[in-house]
Amino acid sequence: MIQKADDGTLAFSYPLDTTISSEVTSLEHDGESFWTQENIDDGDPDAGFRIRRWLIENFVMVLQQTFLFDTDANDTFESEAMTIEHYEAVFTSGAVENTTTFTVSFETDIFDLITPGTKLFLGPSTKVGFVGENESVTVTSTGPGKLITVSAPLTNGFLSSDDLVFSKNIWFFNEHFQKSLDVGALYKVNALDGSILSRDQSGAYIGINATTFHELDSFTGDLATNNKPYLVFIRTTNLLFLNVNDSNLTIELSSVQNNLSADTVEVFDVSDIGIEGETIFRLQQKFNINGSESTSSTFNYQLATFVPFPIAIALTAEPAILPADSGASNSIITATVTDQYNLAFVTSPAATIVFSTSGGGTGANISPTGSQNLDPNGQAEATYTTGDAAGLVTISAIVTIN
Amino acid sequence: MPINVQLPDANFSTGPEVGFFYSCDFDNQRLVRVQADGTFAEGLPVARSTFRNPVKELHFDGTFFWTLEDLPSSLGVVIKRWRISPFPTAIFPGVTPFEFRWQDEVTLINGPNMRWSADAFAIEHYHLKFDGSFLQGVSAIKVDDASRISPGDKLYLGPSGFGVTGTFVGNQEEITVLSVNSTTGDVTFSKGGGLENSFLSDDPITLHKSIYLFNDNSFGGEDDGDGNLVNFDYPSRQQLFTDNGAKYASVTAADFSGDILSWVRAFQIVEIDFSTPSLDLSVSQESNLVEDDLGTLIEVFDMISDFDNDQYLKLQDRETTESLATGALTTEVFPSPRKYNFQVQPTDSFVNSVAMEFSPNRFVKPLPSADKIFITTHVRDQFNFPVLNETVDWSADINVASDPGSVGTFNPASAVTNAPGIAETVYTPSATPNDMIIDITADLA
Repeated sequence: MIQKADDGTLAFSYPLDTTISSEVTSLEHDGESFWTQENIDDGDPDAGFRIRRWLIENFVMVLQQTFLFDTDANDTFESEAMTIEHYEAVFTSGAVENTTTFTVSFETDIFDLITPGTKLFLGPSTKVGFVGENESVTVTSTGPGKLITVSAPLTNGFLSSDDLVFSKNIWFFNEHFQKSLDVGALYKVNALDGSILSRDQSGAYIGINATTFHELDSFTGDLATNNKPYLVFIRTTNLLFLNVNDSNLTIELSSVQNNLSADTVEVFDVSDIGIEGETIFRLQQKFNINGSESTSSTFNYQLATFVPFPIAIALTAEPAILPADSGASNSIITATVTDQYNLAFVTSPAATIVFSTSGGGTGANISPTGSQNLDPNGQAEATYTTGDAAGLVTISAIVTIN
Repeated sequence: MPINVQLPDANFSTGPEVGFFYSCDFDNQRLVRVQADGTFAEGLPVARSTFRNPVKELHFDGTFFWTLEDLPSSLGVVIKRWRISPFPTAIFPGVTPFEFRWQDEVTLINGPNMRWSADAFAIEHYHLKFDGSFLQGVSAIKVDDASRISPGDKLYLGPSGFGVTGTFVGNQEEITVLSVNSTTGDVTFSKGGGLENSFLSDDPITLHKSIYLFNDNSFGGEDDGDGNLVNFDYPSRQQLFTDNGAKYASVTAADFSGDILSWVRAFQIVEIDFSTPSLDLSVSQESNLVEDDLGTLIEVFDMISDFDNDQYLKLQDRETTESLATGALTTEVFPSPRKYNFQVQPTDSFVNSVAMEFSPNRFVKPLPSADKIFITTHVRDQFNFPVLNETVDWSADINVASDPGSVGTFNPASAVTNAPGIAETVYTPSATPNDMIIDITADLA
């Protein structure tokens, strides 16, 4: 496994202690372990795949577990995307070494997901004498006040706000729901033993090459209700946000991406995705940046953001056709600004919009001409007044983010 | 300085003549000695054996050379021990060497349960010294470190520095250890007439103990991508241990020096320190073995551990260098047929990578918004350890795909890395309202 800087500089590499015989199609990190997915047979993708968990130990990537998903009488396994459902928490008031209990707190309260048998990865510690230390523990019980009891005394001490992570399930997108050929499926697998817990079928699960799991916390305003853990995946040009803790596995958000050719004909493959803060890294070989396309023989990332930004302005005119009657008639122009989530674009303070017009002859104008705020629906209005020439009138609008 | 020894064969080592490099010349069946600039100095024909295939690795233990070759017809591999002969002894003190003489070999033939496929090996050997002067005829000596010596071991003494030319100077001999005191360094031996020569304090002694072979096949003999480190006692050939793992696979170069077994694994040089009881890796360092496409591995064909000078010498047929002015990488392929040269890999820490972390976002709105990017720059050395006290300068440029406009500012524009190897700054965007793409760079002063 290689470790690179942003510009591709090779910083370090870790030999694998166990050979991988096929190309890794998905790589995930859950805060403790790396997870890889690889086909059993590169030449026969529907023969199945394996998911492996690795830890870096002594400069080496050491294999911890292998879960095999080989095609059998019940399922045809063909997948290139998997992720690990994992959560982050912090110590509420620290933990003393050689004790077995501590309390935790969360950005999103998912305490109920911590059940007996859950493995917690604690650290790194910031407590003097244990700085930088990590350890794994197994939960035996939980109690009121988000109290956790573990099976063995802690080796290290931890301070308030020190981190801990835990993983619950593996999720992978299968090109087949069991043996079917025309519908995809999302499989839920126990991360501890590799057993299949559930299968959910949907056409939205076909052709998925990139997915990850992330606890979103960067939405503000009305979108803040969407700050929760999501399984995030790319379906053609959309980043979809699936709530795995909803029994219906609802897709709660969709964000359009620009992995699309300049002529909007070709969808560029996204091979993997990573998330850091508010930034999405899409691993691609083809790019469209500001309308300039490029192709690379290697894989590079293209950036996208969770932060809402205006992606479309829809203008309507009511009425749309007017006589050229030199100011006797007018039309109400309404601009509706939407963001990448196809939601009304609103920022605080509100973004501003400026209307302009061309054509229509002498006297044609739009009012107001200066900038005005978008309303809470992402909309603004202006009035077009006719001129003295018949013909096409073009009305434009430019949105500025404050 | 990529061109140096200019060897036509993919093997090299140091040898008895300090400052020269040695290599086995398969086409001409000889050991060649060259200067560091490739100037030919000497060629010694092989004797009592031949190279049946090109030598994959050459090692020098202080007295003997050791080679690794494939056996013909894919039968396995063979490790041979050689010596430049004749060499001065008490009986023939004035001889001049004229051949590269085979001494012994360890033949590893494929069997039903084990197949041998190896490009790298190392000889566990130790450079000892006389602790005091010892005269001809004595049957006990004292060495500076007897911790690795066992009864029955052979010690190769000399060249002697005792006396003047024509007496003992330059002479060599061997003894077989009878008893050893590992604390005091006292060694007794059985030899009719005792020492043949007299020796001075600090005269060299060579001890070789075992052979480490990197078998590309796993312990079961399968070519499954797992490798196998096999340790044979020498000269008994008894297999002392094996350790299986992918970290031993695809190893093309290895060496042993001090207590350190080093080898090249993909982009890294890794080490095991045998002064500790485990087979855990003690060090791993990124070793500039990637071409300028940032992905293609550069093969190392042979390697010398030169810990006295804090460096490894890696024999390669190409190398990647970095422009100090621009940071641009260039891979140069060395010209055939003398296409093998060495590249130096220091073992002293140096800056190997500079990585940036952006928070809370890589996307910001222009002034007068309050948006800022907090930039954390991580400076690491080749061991992936933080580097302290490096001055980092940040700069911003407009990407070619960007709309026009102005870049923002950094505060501070320069900072020094702390103990965790981190330097921090804050980027404030300009007031340009366009859709701008900014390349932010961190350079070390």
